[in-house]
Parts: sequence; structure tokens; C-alpha cells
Amino acid sequence: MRRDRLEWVALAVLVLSLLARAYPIVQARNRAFYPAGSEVAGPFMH
Amino acid sequence: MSPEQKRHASARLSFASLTLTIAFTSLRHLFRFGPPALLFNLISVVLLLLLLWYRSTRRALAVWTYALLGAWIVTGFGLVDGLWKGTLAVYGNYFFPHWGVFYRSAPRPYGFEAAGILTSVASFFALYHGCRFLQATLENAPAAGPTATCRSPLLYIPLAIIVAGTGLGVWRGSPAAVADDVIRIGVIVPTRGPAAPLGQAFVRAVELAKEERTTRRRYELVIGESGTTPQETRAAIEGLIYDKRVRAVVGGISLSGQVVKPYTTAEGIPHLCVCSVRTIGDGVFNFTNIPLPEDEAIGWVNEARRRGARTVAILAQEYPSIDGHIEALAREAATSGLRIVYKQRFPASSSDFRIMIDEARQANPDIYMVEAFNPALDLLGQQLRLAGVRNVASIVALAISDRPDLFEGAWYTDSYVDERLQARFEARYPDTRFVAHMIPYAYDSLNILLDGFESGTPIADYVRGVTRHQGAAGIITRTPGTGNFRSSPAVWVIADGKRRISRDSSEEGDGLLPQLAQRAER
Repeated sequence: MRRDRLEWVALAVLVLSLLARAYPIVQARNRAFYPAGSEVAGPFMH
Repeated sequence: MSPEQKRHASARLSFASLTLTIAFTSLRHLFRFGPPALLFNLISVVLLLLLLWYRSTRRALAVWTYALLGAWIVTGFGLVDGLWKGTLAVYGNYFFPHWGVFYRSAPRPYGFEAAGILTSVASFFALYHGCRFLQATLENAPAAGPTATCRSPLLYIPLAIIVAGTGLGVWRGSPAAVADDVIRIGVIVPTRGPAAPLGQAFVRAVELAKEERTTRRRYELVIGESGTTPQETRAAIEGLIYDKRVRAVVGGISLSGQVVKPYTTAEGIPHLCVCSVRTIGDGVFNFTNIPLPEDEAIGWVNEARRRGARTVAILAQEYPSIDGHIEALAREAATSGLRIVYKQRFPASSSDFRIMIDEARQANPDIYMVEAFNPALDLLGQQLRLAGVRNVASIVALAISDRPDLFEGAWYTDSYVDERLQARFEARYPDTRFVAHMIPYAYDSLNILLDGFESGTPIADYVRGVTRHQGAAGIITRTPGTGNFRSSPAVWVIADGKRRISRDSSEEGDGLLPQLAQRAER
């Protein structure tokens, strides 16, 4: 049971790390396309 | 845990993970399609009903429909969209930018990418628990008998669908899927709205340039309608680059050129823009090909001085390329003794110019400089004419007037045009107005790209190496390292309702064209 919990914690940490690391990557890319401060907004089709 | 309990547990986990995959997918698609994307969650209800049907009847049809539906969700939304086009695209292109194997897409909001990561993780669970559920079901199925195991061939059907579907989805999004021998060149201009005459002429010019070339390789022009807003331009350039996989772009109109520039820079493809905003050209991937505002202003002020003007009133629309002309004109006038006695800018929606015309008349200028797009341009021309104003001049704008008769006797600076090109164009496209401001540069820009592709040199390297080109717009030159092909305008007049290059100006021999060409080459 303890091992199961550890696995779930490890998975949660992995997913949160993926999400957290993606943020600066995505923002940096978007800044190259859009003027400073503006967010990429939907809807888009391509 | 009994086999029955095991089957129930795996069914619950399979359903829960599929529901999460669907929920994250619907969140991801909110960015694309708005609130209707949430309707996608109704598939979870269908899955639940299938499981309940199976539990009460043990019908094989129920469980296999569930399995196939699950395989579709895991494949299409989890592995292809969430993992390949989402998670791996974000991380792969960031950590390995030069590999060129990962899916490339236009910029997306963080929420869209985050939902992709969550979708892909949930789909792994859905895949795992789906297999466990099917395995438990097959083990307990009466037809399979007590000796049936997870190696039952039936179990491989959904797995085969998932593997094949994922492979197909990845392949379709890869460069190999469009790696044929046709070189696609994007053409992005507005062919509707106020700039439509420019855009339509542009498209015809590049089509003519392609028709008239004999080439070793095959080319396809892919037209992107840049529309009238930055959002429409973004949709057009994203379609050209990420769907059509064009290898170079020619475009027109500064407003759309400014939107296109970051895309071509990010994807490393050359972009030749018939745009007058200097900063669009960076000398790396983006190049402008039209007289710069200062080239236009020098020509304009020289002609105004030649005609004896000492004062000028400016009535001009607010628009990026017009802003550039007006600013350059003000600078050039200041050094040439031409005094600006009145200046009024107006928005594109203006229709009543009487007050500003009265104000300008009170300043008693020698010449009225007007610049606008239609409908404002012809409305202004009409009201100037009604006010008795005849001494009108412009930079370029009169070339796109629908009513040149309103500007009878006016003059303006615009591109130099090879008369033979004009004759061929008018013969080939009798219904399209010959717009001197666009056509020779569009024609030459496409020819520069075709020269590059035909040479076999990497196309961006080739364009960076071009410093001189003799074409339909005369000689255009570029100082190495800069992003602007330079050329000088000619003076045009409107006489008898028709536009033509002024003989007086060219015969006087200002030498504008060679002077500018030499200056740029230095």
C-alpha cells in the first residue's frame, strides 16, 4: 500500500513538473510571435 | 480479488481514465472551437452506457464497441494529439530544435499545451486499464473458455488499431508526408477589403512570373488570404506554413507583413514582402522589396520642388505604411525648404473631409498631398474637387483610386514599371487593374525565389546573397546585411483619366533611379 502511494506521488510530481517546465517554454515561444504582454488567444483553426 | 471483482475494478479505472482523457481533450479544444468543444464530454456518457449494457447483458457487442471507441480516443486524442502534437512537440522542439522530426505548430496558449500534457498522461492510463479490462473480460468470457489468456488474439485488435492509428497520425503530421517534388511558395496578400486592388494585382503578378519562367523543378503557388485583420493574417500564414508546408513566402501590405515576419523567422523560411515598413526586413529571413518611405519622399519632394512648390498641406489616413511616408516626407521637406503648412491625419472610416479641406485652404498651400485607401481616398478626392482644389499630389495612393477622373491633373510617385511587363500583364489579365505599386515588385520577388530554388543553394542563403536584381521594377539593390531591397520611384501623372509615367520628370533627368541604386550598392 505504501509503495502504491509512493508511485502515485511520483506520478503527480512528474506531471506537475512537466506542466511547470512547459510554462516558460511556451511563453518564450509565444513572445516571439506576439508583442510583449499579449497572450495568444483563441479561437484558431490552424 | 475474484476475477469478477478484478474485471469490475479494471472497468472502473478504464472508464475513469478515458473520461479524464476526454475531459482534458475538450479543454484543449476549447481554445480551438470555443464552448461547443465541451460537448465532446458526451462521449463519456456513451462509454458509461456501454459498460452498463455490458454488465446487465454480457453482450460482446457492448464491450467491443466500448473497446473500439476507447481505442479511437486513446489514439486520436491521447497519443496523436496530446502526446505527439502536444507534449513531444513542446519539449522536442525546445530541447532538440534542429532535429526537424517533431511536429511543428503555430504558437498556442499555455492552457492548450498544458491540456495536451494532461491528455497524454490520462491516455496512457486509459490504454493500460483498457487492456486490463479487456483481458479480464476475455478471461471470463464463456466463449473463450477457462483457458483463454491475455494472449487471446481478440485483445490485439484494439491494440493494432491504436498502433496503426498512431503511426498514421504521426506520419500525416511529419515533413515526409508532403515531401514530394513540388516546391510550394506561399503568397499572402489581402484580396478583399480596402487593399483588394493591390492584393488581386499581386496574385496575378506572381502567377504571371511563374507562367513565364521555364524551370527545372516544379512549383506551386499557394495563396493565403491575409484578410483585413491581424487575426485573419495569422490564420492565413499559419495555414501556409504549418498545413501547406510552403518553403518560401512572398507577401504584400505592411500590415500583414508585420504579422508574417515572426512566423517566417521562427520557421527559418525566406519572406519577401512588398512592404514599405523598413523594420519588416531583417536581412536574415525577411526582406522588403519596394521603395522605402525615404526613397518615396526624396522623389516626391524633388518633383514638388521641380514644379515650384514651396508649401504643402498633408491630408492622410492613419495607416502604418502611410505613417512611414508622411514621416519621411516631413524629414525630407525640412531639409529641402518645402514647408508643411497644414497636416491632418484621419481614420479609415472618415467620410466627411470638408472641415479639414477648409482648414487646409486657409493655410494656402502650393500643393495638397493626399494619401489614403478607398473608400476614404475617392471621397476625399470628390470633396477636394467640389471645393475647387486641383493642385493635388500623392505618394502611391492615386494608383489605387477607383475614380482617377477625380484626380485629373494630379501627380504622384509610384514604382517604375517595365512597359513590356505592363503590356503582357494587361494582355493576360484584362480584367485586373495594373497596379504599378505592387506588380513589378511582386513579379521580381517571385523571380528572386525561383532563381534561388533553381540554383540549388539553400533558399534562405540564396536570398541573403542577392544584392542586385534587374527586373520589372528596374534595378533593385540591397546593401549586404540589410533587409531592404532599394529602388527609386517614378513620377506618374493622371491625364485624360489615365495614369502614366510623367515624361517631363524622366526627361529632365533627375537621375533618381541610378543615384539610389548606386547609393544602395555602396
